[in-house]
Amino acid sequence: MKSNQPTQHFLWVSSILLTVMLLMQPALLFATNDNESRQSGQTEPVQQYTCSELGTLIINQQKQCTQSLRSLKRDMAALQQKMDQPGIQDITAGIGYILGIFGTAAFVASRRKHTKPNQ
Amino acid sequence: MHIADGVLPTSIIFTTYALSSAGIAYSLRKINPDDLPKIAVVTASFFVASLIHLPLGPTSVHLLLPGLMGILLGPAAAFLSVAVGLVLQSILFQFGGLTALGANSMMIGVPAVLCGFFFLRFQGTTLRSNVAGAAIAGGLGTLLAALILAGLLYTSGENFLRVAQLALVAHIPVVLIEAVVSAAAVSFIFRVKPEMLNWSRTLVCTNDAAR
Repeated sequence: MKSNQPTQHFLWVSSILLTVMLLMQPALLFATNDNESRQSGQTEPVQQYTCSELGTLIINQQKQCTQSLRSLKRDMAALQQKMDQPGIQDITAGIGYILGIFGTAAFVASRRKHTKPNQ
Repeated sequence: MHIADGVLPTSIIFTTYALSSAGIAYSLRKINPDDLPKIAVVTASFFVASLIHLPLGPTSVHLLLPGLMGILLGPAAAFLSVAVGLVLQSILFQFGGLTALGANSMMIGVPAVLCGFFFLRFQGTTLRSNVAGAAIAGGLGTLLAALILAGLLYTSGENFLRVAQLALVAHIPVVLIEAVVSAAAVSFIFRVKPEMLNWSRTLVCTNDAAR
């Protein structure tokens, strides 16, 4: 009995700890949520702009937007050009077609050659 | 170098189609069936050669290889080879429109046939004469192709006159590159497999004799 007692104690303690942790989990989750919401809430109302400041801010943002749009358009044009060029699939397909056409022709020609002497 | 859809007038389209059909029919009659594998390989290399674009100023140019095709295949088979290669380029890569297919195959095929005849005459038996003949044939083939292109564009109206001039100017370096490439290819083939170069001569002679 005595030798079993410490292990039993350990089991009890651990199970209690586990239940406590499980019970606390939702609370912990909410706590993190609260933190996040508080942080995001903090950034919004702190800075207050005057009207002219807002205007310059918007203009700057617009400039950034147009710049990024321009680079995007450039990328798209480059991509389009790349897509217009035939890829390795087209090339191999074409070579395959050519070999197939001439292979068939050679086959037909050889059959003709074989059938001629019989006639 | 490929003529696109809607550039040429209808009369030219029909004329070139008729002429190139005649050329293909002539090729089909003259071809020796034993040489079909070689024709296939040369056609495949012609098909791929136009994909290697060399940037040149505002435009880019690519090899045309009419001279080399004429040299390797002889005048008889070259036209068929060109036509097959161009059909597949048109379908798979949208290089040149389907309606302009006749004009395109005339543009490359006629110089190829002429270069075949030219090489037959000037080939000689030594390495030097072969290489010189190949260089001249290669350059001449591209020059003729560019001239035919300019002529075809000229028929389609005054608007394309400037394009025709531009096409001629752009192909001056291609003529030189083509001459070098043809000479290099022929000098290699002459050392490795010289009977491949005499093939065109045997084709024209034996096939005519056999029929």
